[in-house]
Amino acid sequence: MLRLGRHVFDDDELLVMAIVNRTPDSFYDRGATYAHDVALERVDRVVEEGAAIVDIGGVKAAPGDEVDVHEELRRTVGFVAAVRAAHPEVVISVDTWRHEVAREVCRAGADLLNDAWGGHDPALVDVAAEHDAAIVCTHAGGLAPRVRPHRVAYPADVVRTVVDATVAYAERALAAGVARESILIDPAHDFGKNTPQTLEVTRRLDELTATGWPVLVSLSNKDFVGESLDLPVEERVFGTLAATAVCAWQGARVYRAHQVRETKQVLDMVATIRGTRAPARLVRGLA
Amino acid sequence: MLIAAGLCPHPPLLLDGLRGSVDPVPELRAACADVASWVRGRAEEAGARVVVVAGGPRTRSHGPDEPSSAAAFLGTRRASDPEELPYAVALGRQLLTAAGCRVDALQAVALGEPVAGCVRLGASLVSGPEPVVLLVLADGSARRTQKAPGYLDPRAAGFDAAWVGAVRAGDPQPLLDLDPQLAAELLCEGRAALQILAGAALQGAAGRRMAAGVPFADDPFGVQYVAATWHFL
Repeated sequence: MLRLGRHVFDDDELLVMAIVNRTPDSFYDRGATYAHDVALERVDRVVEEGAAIVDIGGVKAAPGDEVDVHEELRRTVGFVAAVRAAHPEVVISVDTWRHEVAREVCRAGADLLNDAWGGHDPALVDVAAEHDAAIVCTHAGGLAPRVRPHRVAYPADVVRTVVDATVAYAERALAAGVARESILIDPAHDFGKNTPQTLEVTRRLDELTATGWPVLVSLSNKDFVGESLDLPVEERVFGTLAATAVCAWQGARVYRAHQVRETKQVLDMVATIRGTRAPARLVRGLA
Repeated sequence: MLIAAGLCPHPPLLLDGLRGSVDPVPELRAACADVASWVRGRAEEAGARVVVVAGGPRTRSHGPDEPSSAAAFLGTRRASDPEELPYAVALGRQLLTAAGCRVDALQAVALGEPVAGCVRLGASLVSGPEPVVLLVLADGSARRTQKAPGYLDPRAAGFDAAWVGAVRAGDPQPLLDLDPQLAAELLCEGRAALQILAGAALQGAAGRRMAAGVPFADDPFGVQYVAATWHFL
């Protein structure tokens, strides 16, 4: 059982987390949902397409203009409240590393804190525990928020390093009082890792799923796909879906995606092949 | 006695094993191969010892046959694997070996080695009568543009202009003015190696003319790369 706030999911359910950025400058959507109304429309659409979770982010991951706590709150808190009012059944995740932001968005109705930066702010777990919110425990390679990996080497096994880091963070969340069934781990594709390192983690994702913690992966349109296929940002959907299928085959549970409908279909197909989902409609050869 | 020095940058993407099917830096790769061939030519003419100088975790020499691989960058290394050469040193050896050049010694320098230490080390590498050719691996700042790995620091342009200009002019003196603290802030990994080069040039080529060539100087990814040759006449 996976519990995200008041929302409960069976262990067999594969969940799509739809990205809804409240930034003017994120790498893929580039401000498309920065305006409040457009962002709310996107939430309506992704919920209709089958997203179980919406992930609201106020700060782009790459370096750039500073977004301080005040500005991040401005971009996220009011929007979280609006989404909560419009969609009581959807899981609201907020992509933040800051405990100050986490506190306010939890008060406004957020169910899940998606910390892409590996626990940079040690107080985040306490906020999650205080509000009975769920948390995503990532590996960011020790980088400070919004720092690009530069000549990053893993002298020990990168996958072992990622497993150890995410499990340690998960156990820290547990010790802080976050419910066991509300903790996820995420290797954080491309964060603090170059393309070959990210591919190695993807190849051996079963070592993360074998820990028993539910695994979230964030693959969507990332550079590891672009570098593998030599394709620009806007042409990476097929590569992303291939990586999605590989992660689903190895047991990942939550998929953070831009393309919700396509991702959901891929997940449904993989789950049906694995046998954790029944095929929809059987007639051929059985009539 | 210092006969000649080649200079190449050391981005890990030049390492064997890290080349994809599309070469993102064909001109740089060719320029580095040319510098390595040039080093071989100068070494053979003079019967010189060939020494690689490059940054690493510690200032120390390495045996010319110590192992190296790109595994740490590939994510395929295991903790139980044998200790490997610092990657920049390994790249220097790779370039020379590919050019058919014998490698006699490998000198690693800690990225934070103080200026005086670098100058002394450079001088000691070339202080005898025996002819020596160096291949120095050094890059400039990785904070040159918004897209750079280290994002944009407006100080990077001036910092790099100073050392690149010195290399073009064949003038070792300005290399000694590179500030270690600023270099570290600007994510410049080559400061110490450049100061070893300067120490070697000032000691081991004192009073001789120098011809400088710069087949490559550019920052395609926001990191300053320079391939160059210094020939002491």
